[in-house]
Amino acid sequence: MSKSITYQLSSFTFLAFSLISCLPDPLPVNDVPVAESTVVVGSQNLPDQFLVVSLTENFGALTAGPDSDLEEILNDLLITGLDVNVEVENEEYALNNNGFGLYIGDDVPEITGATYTLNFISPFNQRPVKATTQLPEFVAFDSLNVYVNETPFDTLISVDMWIQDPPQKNWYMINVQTFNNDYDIQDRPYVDLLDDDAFNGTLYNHQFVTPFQDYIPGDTVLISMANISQEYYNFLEIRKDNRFSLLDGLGEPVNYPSNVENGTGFFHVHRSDIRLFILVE
Amino acid sequence: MISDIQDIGLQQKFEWTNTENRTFNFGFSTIYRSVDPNLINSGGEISELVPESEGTERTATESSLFGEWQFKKNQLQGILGLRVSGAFLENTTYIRPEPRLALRYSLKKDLAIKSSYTRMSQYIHRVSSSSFALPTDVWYPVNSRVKPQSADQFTLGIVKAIPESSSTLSLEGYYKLMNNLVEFSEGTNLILNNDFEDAIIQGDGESYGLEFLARKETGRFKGWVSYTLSWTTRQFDELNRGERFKARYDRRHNASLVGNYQLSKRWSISAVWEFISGARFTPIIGYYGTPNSAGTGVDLIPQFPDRNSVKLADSHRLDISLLFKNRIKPNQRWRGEWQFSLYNVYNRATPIAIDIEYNEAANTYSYEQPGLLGLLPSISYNFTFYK
Repeated sequence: MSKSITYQLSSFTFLAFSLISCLPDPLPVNDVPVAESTVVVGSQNLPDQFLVVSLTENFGALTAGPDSDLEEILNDLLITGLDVNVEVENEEYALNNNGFGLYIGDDVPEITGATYTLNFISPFNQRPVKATTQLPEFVAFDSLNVYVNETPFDTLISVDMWIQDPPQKNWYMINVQTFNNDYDIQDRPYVDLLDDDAFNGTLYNHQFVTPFQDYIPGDTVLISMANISQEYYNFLEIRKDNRFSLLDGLGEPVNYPSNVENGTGFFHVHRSDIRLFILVE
Repeated sequence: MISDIQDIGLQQKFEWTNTENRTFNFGFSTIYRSVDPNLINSGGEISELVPESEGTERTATESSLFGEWQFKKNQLQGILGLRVSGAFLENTTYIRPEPRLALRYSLKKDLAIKSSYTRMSQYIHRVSSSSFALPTDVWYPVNSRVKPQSADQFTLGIVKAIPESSSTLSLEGYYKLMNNLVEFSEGTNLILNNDFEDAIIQGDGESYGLEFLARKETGRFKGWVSYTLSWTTRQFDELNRGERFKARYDRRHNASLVGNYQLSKRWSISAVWEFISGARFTPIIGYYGTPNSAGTGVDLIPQFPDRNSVKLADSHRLDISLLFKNRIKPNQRWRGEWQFSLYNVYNRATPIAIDIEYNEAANTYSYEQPGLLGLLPSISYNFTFYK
């Protein structure tokens, strides 16, 4: 009996090992909650426009994927036709809708330290949406130099900057954005964040290297720096921690901080010092 | 990223029996532990961003003194013990008393109730990523900021013996309160991160449940049936808006059937079927677009539901194995055993995460739960040596 069983077992085992490794089929997921539709506030500081607010709608995780045309999706999510205003020192300023989800404040004054309050009614629940921020003091580069940094692997750039930090507590955002010869935007901007804990009120030298971009001569590099609010700094810091993640799902879950009541996103005002460099050999 | 842990330890235990019904155990142990919790091997361009790092070596001496009194009087048996443990760091010392008491009272010859209380302390933490179940755990020792974990556990149960079938039945309830558990703060990304130590946060946990076990220990057929009904929650000020949430391994039901049948003197067959409720997970449920910080494009920001609010699919698995013992020749001092096994016979996935998959034909996206380790046949040969 044992010989027969041994033979059968051997045959069975041979067949079993001959099978391609059986990776089980994934199981369906049925109980994942759906993200509630909400207004997303974004704000921009452009060279010729102090205040531009974007209003869009969020979208479900199953609406799009890595292969989706993001521009097309976002176009469908623009929120237009709302009455949006900003209150500054008890004066209300209407923002003009350009029809593409952007609301532009042509006459909003730039007052350092003033409180800016964004107001409008949410199209989703007809309740007020409100966000408040303050305009920090403008701080420019005291000096700024950009060097091509040849490594054995890539051509990177090193940024060497000096700033004269004002006496109060400050938080800085430094962006490095590259454009190629045709002025096409290359990749996401590299963001460097700096708080003045270690150099409050002094002249400070800061240096950093931008990784993950292979620069070539002729590239235009835009470097901007702005003194920003602590709230926006905290938001960017969390975002920065995830910037090298190929998939957001590889990080710890986080619901990003927002200063928007009855909405999400971030409303912030700041003034940037923007410099352009063309890389040469 | 890896954790490098080295332990050098010494333990001595003494036993002193006073009478048949009284035994004392006492002793000490000490461990010199060295931990490098974050060795980063980076090279090339990445090293510009994440410098190669051997981490900060952390050393601690963990020592304990313990004593235990085992006693028996009439229908009452018990163990009363105390362990005093401590971690001695460069600038900090933690000393924790760990009392324990276990009592068993025989109501009848075949029926007893039992109860226990135990306090435990732990001076090295395992911190896991909650986003996926791949080996990204980091071992992290206590320091002046990260305090020792502790747990207080209470149990109450009843045990019934059934001599005619060589079986025992037991039912036990437990309640466990945990302090200074560790997690990563929201948004921590372990990929290319050499600065995760600041991201470690501490909070509390609670677990309670009921365990049932029926075991048959003799005869041609042996085996057991077990079932656990449990709840496990966490509360961290920095997570989930400070609200209590289900723990990642809050598995409501856990059942197993284990059987072994002796076919003949040399052949036996065994099977294990296990059912576990799905673990908890926090998938991405949405996105929003916002201008990037340079104003040159749009950043997509993920949105998550409440922490661990989604349950992965339940998993169940059947494993079968056949054991064949070789004949022993006279004077042979070892015995060989062939074991033929099938793991996960019906090839069901044990989910480890939630992914979003694209269905090209339908041009739709859907959530899926991939799993590791499907049907896995194996053969092993074991040696057992005799004196």
